[in-house]
Amino acid sequence: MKIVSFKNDYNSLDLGDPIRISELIIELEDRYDGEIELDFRGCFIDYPATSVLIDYFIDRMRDMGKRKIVIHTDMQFDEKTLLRLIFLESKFLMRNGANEVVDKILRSFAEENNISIEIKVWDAVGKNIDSYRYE
Amino acid sequence: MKSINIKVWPEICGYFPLLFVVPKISGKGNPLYLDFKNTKDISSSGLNCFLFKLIKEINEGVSVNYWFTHDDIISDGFKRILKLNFFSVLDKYLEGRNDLWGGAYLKRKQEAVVTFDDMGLEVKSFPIYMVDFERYDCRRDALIDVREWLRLIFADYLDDYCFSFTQFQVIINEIVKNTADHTCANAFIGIDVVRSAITQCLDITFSVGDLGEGINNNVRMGLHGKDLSRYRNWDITQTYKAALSDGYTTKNGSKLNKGLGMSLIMQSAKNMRMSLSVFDAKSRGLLDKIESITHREIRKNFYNIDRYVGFAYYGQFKVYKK
Repeated sequence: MKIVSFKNDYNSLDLGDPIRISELIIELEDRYDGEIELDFRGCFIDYPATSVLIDYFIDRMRDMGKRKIVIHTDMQFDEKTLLRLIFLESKFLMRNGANEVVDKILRSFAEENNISIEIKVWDAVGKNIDSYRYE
Repeated sequence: MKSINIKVWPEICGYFPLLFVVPKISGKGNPLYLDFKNTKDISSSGLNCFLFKLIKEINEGVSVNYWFTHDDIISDGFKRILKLNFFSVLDKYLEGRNDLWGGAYLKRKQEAVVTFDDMGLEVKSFPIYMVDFERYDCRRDALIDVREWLRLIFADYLDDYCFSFTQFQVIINEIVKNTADHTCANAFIGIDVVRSAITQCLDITFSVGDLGEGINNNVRMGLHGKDLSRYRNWDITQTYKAALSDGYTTKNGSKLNKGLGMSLIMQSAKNMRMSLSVFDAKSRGLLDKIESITHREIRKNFYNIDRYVGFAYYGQFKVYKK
């Protein structure tokens, strides 16, 4: 499984900055295999910039059959808040003009598109404290 | 012309300066004398509170000047206050004084003022950062610089300490984002990092304030239609219940605003075991202590101060060595 660490591989610590996200998309590889881990640890994430990055990966993996994305973050929030920070305004999830991301919408998106999305939340000492899976 | 003497309290630290009484100023062009002779304890977060409290008072339609004696200027306290950007920011709000200190405000890589006390504590106070939204095409663009400024301050600590830094960035980011979205005013940030030589533990304090209306007034002003007549008499616990509710925003027309901000601030403070107060109107609210968004719970955690304190957050938390 390919691991993309935005802090170590791209020295990108601010994934809430839309300009940096557009630069990053140029730097990233053009195609990815069916499984990928996006390591956001040490990076600031915020809507709507981060969802542009997620959209990029979903788009680049589109012809891969069964796909899997694992997202690592050290930002500790409840599930609903975390989903909004990461996915709010994602073009793949904006259904029927819905402006909210809730677990149900993400789950049905994952099922319909044959994609598994897992979010792993880490604390400051590197311990995995929460995991959410949508498939 | 009547001179206005402000004898500054001995402590310009903590949130005390928010409670400091600035005499009512009447008439234009009065010389303002800030007497710092008795100040003994000066922190960036405390000085920041004093600064925007003072600016808020000055902004109420009066133009003033300040002056100092030679003894003031050569004192250590004065030099420290100078290095923490106090006068350079204050001058921006005083007519005709903008160039006095060479426009030293808002240089992003400024050195901290470092002192050591007898107890083996190293105190690093970072110059007050004025978030000058006018410099940006879009007010929210200022947030990128604020986050970068925070990274520069804490870069040296991140490898050695168990510090949820991104979570801390969320708090400052959301506070300043609220200033950007809901006011036409600037925001001010002061940060101090105290390190104990014995425990190596960091004690971090910060204050963020703005010259806007505050959440209480903003929620009231955001009421319209039926709500306006029904809720006209809301007290601060009711306006905060609305503000803290998930998805509530006074900017319903805004595509970017999702009413997430206060929820992010509260969750982050709790996760970091941060003590976080909001000062608004005549009250202090303990945001990290609110367990549920109910009227009763909010009332339990809001305290009356009995005088207007402006609008500010004051936070304190510990970070331990790995």
